[in-house]
This record gives sequence, C-alpha cells and structure tokens, in this order.
Amino acid sequence: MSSEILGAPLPGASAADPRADFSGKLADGQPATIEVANASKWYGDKVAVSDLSFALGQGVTALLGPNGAGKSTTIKLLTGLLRPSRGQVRVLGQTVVNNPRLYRRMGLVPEQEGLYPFLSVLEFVELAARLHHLPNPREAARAALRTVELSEVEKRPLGQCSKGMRQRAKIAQGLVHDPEVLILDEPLSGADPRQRLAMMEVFTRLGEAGKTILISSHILYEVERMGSNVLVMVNGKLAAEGDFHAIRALMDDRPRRVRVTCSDPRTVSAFLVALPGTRSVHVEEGSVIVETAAPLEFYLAVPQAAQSAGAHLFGIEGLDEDLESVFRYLVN
Amino acid sequence: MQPIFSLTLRALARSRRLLVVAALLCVPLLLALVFVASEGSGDSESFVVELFVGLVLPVLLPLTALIFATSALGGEVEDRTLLYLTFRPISRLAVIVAKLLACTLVTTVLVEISLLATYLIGTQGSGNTQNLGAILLSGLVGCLAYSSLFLLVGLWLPRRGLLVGFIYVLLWEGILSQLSTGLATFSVRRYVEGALDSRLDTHVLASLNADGISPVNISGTTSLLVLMLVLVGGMLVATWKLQQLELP
Repeated sequence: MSSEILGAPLPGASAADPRADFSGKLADGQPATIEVANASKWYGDKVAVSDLSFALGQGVTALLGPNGAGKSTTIKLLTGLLRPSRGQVRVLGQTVVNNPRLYRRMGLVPEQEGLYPFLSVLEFVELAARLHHLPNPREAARAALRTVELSEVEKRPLGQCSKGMRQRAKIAQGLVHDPEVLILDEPLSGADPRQRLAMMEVFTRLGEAGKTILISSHILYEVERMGSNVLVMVNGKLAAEGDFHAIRALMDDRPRRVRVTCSDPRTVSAFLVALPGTRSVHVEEGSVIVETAAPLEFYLAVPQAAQSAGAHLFGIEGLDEDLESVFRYLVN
Repeated sequence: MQPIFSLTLRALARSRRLLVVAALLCVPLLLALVFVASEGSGDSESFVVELFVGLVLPVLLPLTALIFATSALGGEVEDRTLLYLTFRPISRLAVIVAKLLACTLVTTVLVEISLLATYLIGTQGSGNTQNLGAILLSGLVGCLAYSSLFLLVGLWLPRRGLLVGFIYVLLWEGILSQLSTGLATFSVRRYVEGALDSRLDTHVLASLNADGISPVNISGTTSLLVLMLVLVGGMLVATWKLQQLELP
C-alpha cells in the first residue's frame, strides 16, 4: 500500500496500488485480498461513506478515524452486512454480498454489544465452530479461547461476563475457524491494558502468518503497535492511506495552537513571537494563544520566555491535541 | 441448521413469553374444569369443540404463534445478534427453516397439550376420537401456517411485528374477515376452520349449527393446501427477505 493523503503520495510509502481496480494484485505484485472500488453508502440524504477505493493484502491494516467517521459502515460493506449504494467490494476475489460460502474464509468481530446472555463463553464460540462445520467444534472453540486467554471462564454465561471478557469471546468466535481474512471493529474496547497488549500480539502474529487483518480503532497507539499500514477515515471519506509512520510524522509536524497562561500576557507575547516556528500570537485575558509549527521546541522555550519577561508562568495547554483535530488536519 | 434450531429453542424456552403463553393456554382448561364441575347441561363433546372454535382457534392459537414466531428472528434483529448466525457459510433458507422449526415446535407442543388436556377434561375421557383428531390436526396445521406467517412479519418489522400481528389477529381475522366471505379468503383462520369442519363428525357439526356456528364452506383438502401454501410461501419470502436484509 502506498502512503497517500488526499491523493498526494507520502515519502516512505510501501509498494501498493490504492486504486486497484479488481486486478487481484497490489502494485508490488502481492495478492490483494480486499478490494474496494468507488464504494459509497448512503441512507436517504445522509452519506455514511463516500467513494472509497483501496486494496489491501496480507498483514495487519488499521482502519483509523474518529467516532462517526464511517469506520463501522466500511467494515459492514467489507463483510456484506451492508450493500454499497454505489461501487463494488470484493474479498478474496469474490463479491461478498449474498455469498455465504465466502464466510468460511472470513471472520468478523463486530462492534455491537449484543450477545446471547444465556450461552456460556464456550457454547458461544462452539456455536460459531458448528456453523462453520468444523470437524471438532468443541476442541476448536477451546483452542480459540486459549488464544484470547479466556479458557478459565469458559463455563461462565456471557450475561455474567465483564465487557472485556465478552469482547474477547467475540474475538474467539471470529477466529475459531482460522479465517484467511479477519475483520475487527473496535476489538479492544473494554479490555484492560494487559489484555490489549496480549490481543495486539495475537493480531500481529496472525498478520505475520499471512492472514489479512483489518482492525478499526480510534486509538493511535494501538495502531502504532500492530502494524504499519493504515487507512484513515474522516467524515465518511478516506483521508489518508499507507504507511503509518509517514502519516504519523505528518501528524506530528502539523502546526499546533497552544495556550500559555501567565501573569503578564502582553509582555510574554513579545518573547513568544520571536521564537522559531511561531506563526501567530493572540493575547487574551490572562493568557496568550500561540500557533507554532515547532511544538516541541516551543514547549521547551516557554519557561525561559516567561522568565525573560519577568512574568509568572501558570500553565501551558495544547488546544488541538485531541484525535478529532489530528484527523481533521489530515483532511485540511 | 441444528445449532440454530437448538439455540432458538433455548432462547424461546427461557423467555418470559413462555410463561405468558402457558398462562393463556390454561384458560380453556379452566373453562373445561368449570363446565365439568358445574355439571353442564349441554353436550360435552360440542362444548369442547365450541371452545376450540370460539376461543383457541381465533385467539389463543394465533397469539401463541405470534408471540414465539416474531421473537425467533425479529428478536435477533433487535438484539443485533443475527449476524452471529448469518455471517456463516450456511444458506439463508437453512437459517429460516431452523428458526421456523423451533418456533413451530414450541407453539405446537403448547397448543396441542392445551387442546388435548381441555378435550380430556371437558369430555371426561369419553370423547369421540374422530373429533379429537380433527381438533389436534387443525391445531397442528394452524400452528404451522401462523408460525410461518408471523416469522416473516417479525423479520420484516422487527420492532412492530408483535403489534402488526395483534392487529391482524384481532382486527382482521376477528372482525373484518367475519363481515364477508371475500375478506375471509385472506384469513388463515378460515382455512383452519375448514380443516376442522371437514373432519368433525356430523353430530357435532349439527350441534354447532344449532348454536349458530355455521360450518365453513370450503373443503378440507383445499383448506390444507392453502395452509401449506402459507407455510411454504412464508418460508420462501422470509428467505428472500433475509438475503436482502442489511444489518446497519
């Protein structure tokens, strides 16, 4: 996959063709397991996702974006739970809609909470194994539960499990039949930090074993740990795709707004405007808002600037560090 | 198919709906007990058949089927668990057949037990097996047809399936279809009554006539054919609907 933001290739991109038109291959010649061509989904006037085109191969790819960006809709299009209003989706070379036989080779871990509260953890995973016609469903279910470290509570009804346990049971039913393509929608929500790490290791291992793993997340550090390929969605559109580190570098280099709260904002602002990277300074009651292109250097220099101005420094606060701002920057 | 069948049976068996339905189906038993206890003056055989025609067939049987069948699939859509069954390498027809078998089994067992117990209590064990057979057979085909119809309604309207089913049973079948034969043509109840009437003995039919309950002017064979058509048609349309269904 090449790294790309709004059509402009990024440095450090890995080889791939993001506009693969069902060639079945990525640009580097590797087989494309998931192919999406100009797919859109709308409900009446509301557009959920718009004109998505990308191709993925083996390994872990993260689908990243803020809540409401269209990640879940994209996942439902990829798994045939929704039909594209326009465009096409193919998985393992086949159309996914109305093609139940393809599900033998695909796994899905949905975001929704709904489960059968009266089934035990083992029964739930075994149900999936039976519906996949596995020769030894109980043993397959137990193996999947061992993978997600849930064997100890296999007899516990799902209705009495914590959110993290239910989440891992959902992961187990998704991988019980050893699918070639595993698609997970926010699989780590509700898991504690140790479980998150363990699950991330599982996904990485599966990716290294040649599976295609697509994981949606709105948490950057999870994505950073699991793989280098990302698709970034904002407002129903693909905002960026490609190598995580190239995109991350762009995110880190973006200009930031910082609020400096101090005793004499006007005098301090004269020192701040002279700092390298400062783009604008705006004095407010009790604080200065600075836009800087070099946030790290700026944070280090602020105490010195306040001291030089003879002012007391009360606080430094980044104003657009939230994920929404990061993702929106990628679009703008 | 078997795992979905077992899963659905478990889900239906543990729901509060089961208790509600069981309580409803005790009503004809209680009425039969009252009849026996009061040493009713009428013909006990006719009393039990009238109980079936006047209470079980128009109200209890369709409501039982409605309550179980709408939750069998509609409940999965509402609870957002359906994808754990449909995101599997099995045909949509297999999903529908498994669901239909499960809800029909629960409905049939409860209704037939109620009918059998009511008949045995009402006639104090001395009834005519021909009439008992007629009641049990029409009860069975009624359960099959109504379950198929309401399974489809539950899938099509997961949130309002129960309400729409109530309106169909109480308003359409209970009132409107009684106004004209033309409207009754589109009523499952008419054909269940047809299946019953064709098998009751002449003595009971005459007794029903004397009480103002006219036999349905439709042959038993036609009735059974139409009910089978409802069963198979409902199943096929539900399969098509499941294929078209999106799970947002």
